[in-house]
Amino acid sequence: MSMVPVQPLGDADLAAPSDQAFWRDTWRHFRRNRLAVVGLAIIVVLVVLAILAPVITRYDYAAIDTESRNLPPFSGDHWFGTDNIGHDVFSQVIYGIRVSLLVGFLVAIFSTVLGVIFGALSGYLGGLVDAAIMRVVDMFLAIPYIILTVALVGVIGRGLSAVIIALIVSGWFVVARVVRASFLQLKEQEFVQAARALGYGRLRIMFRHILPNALQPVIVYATLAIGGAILAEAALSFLAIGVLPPTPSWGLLVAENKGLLASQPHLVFFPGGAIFITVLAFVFIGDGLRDALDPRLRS
Amino acid sequence: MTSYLIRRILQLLLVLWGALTIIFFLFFALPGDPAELLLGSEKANPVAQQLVAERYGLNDPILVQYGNFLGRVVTFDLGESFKDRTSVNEVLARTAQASLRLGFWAIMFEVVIGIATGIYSAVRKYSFGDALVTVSTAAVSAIPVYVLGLFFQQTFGVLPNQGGLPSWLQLPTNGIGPDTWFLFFIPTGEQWKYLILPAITLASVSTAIVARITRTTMLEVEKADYMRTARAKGLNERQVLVGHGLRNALIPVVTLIAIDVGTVIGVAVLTETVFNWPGIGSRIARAIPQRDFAVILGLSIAVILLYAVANLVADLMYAWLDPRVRLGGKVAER
Repeated sequence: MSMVPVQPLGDADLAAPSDQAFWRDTWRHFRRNRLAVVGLAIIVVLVVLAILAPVITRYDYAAIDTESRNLPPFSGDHWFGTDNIGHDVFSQVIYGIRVSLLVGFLVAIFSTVLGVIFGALSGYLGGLVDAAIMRVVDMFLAIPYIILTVALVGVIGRGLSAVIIALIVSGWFVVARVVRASFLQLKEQEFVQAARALGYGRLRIMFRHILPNALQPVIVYATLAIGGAILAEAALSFLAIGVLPPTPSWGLLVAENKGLLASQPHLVFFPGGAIFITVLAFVFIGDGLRDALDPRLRS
Repeated sequence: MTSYLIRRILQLLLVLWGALTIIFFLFFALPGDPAELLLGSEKANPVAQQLVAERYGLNDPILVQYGNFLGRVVTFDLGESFKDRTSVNEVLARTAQASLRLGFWAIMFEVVIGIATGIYSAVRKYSFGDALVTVSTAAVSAIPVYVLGLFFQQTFGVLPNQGGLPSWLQLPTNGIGPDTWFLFFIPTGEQWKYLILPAITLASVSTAIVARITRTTMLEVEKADYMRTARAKGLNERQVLVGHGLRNALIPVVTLIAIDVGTVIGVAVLTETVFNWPGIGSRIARAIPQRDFAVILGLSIAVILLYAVANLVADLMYAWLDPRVRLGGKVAER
């Protein structure tokens, strides 16, 4: 995919001589995967909806209109109906895209960057650094994900930024493991020895020579991590320890309306369905990228 | 095998110590007064705060507190709920039963349905059925478990009641029900009706993962030399697939399931909450808004221990099933 920032110039050429061709090839394979394209289209639509949210919604997502409570879907301007205190559910769900995508992208980006840095240091330097970083990773992995995030949120507090920080802290070490494994393999290869022989510094070798070759699993992981972070934020908000109302988190909406399941199931299934569609789109894209990036899976 | 076992247990103790240290410092050493956290309100009165601080030894130097914490873990004293003064050990004993029963049936579902689906998908690769499995496993992994749970409640709890669906589909969707069991795990009487929906909900994501991994590894071993050898020996297709293919393909699946035992029993937070199942997970979830940190911390310690044992068992099974691991040889990257 052309939007992936790989250094095409300078000494990166030494590392990956045919970057351009590689990414063009990857895009070609990605495009052939129908589900992946559907996923990408869904995300594009969601991004557009998120940007245009003020234009396409008629009501403030936080506004309470006691005159129009408990309206069924498609009643007048309230396309998704209203909840029991008069929130416009359509506005809540549309603005919810912003929350979910923000959490998803920020968490995926920062946990990936942290994981890449620690994984690269660990894999390339080896020895004591490797042992230290990997033991810390093991310790984090020994704590079940939901326990760790709950503990972190408990300490950091509630709110959107607290959730984002907690999810970054509980997400980086999986990437670190993946990156370390690639670095361990790659650092023995000829192009790295060549770079070393040319007298390049360690950091330069790590991040400009080895990293571009280790990116494929990282990109796949990061894509899936976006969906994972969206699910995690929604779960925390569902458990009433995520974002604070009236921030329109889909998980929070499901939690707030689950008591109305019998009378107004749409209040649960519109936000619930929004989580499902968004996460599914990232799963499709991630799977598509995995197949497209792995030469062994190309047929 | 024995030396491998000893090595692994020593590693495990080190990791456990680290994990518990992380949890300790998260709860007790970061900015913010733990006494306030334990009292559950920022505007707690100072006298109560002082009492709590003394009771929990919060005025001691942090290293003394840490030592006491580790001492309590070693003697398995999980503390006392700050809300109702019950011992967390008792809370654990009560909730663990419900969680074990639910987790057991979720694992059964995961094993049977997950592996069967994966094999079907691999044997019929690129067929319509395989494509359907691929899409639906992706879909299941994208549904939040609590939304799936609510969907089941709507389908089997609400709709048959409202006449939208036949009434024989009606299932209870709240709580554990009569709580009658035979040989600990087998539901008797009406019990199964309360068990089935939470078990399937809890199993959903792992079942999808098991199906996908079984499919992938089946397709991988399909290309292995020993499969060609088995066919060349003239074995029939069933013998080749089950006796040679499946046995090797299931190694990573078995490991995955062993790890899952820890997750499914200990941290079924969302499923147990949605179905009001009185297990460890829903108890943790209930303690969170109450800010009953003693319960959250105590149950978390128990869950981390359980999780560690599950991981150890998974590793040992891997080593037992795949001699290359325990002999310290290099295992081919999957």
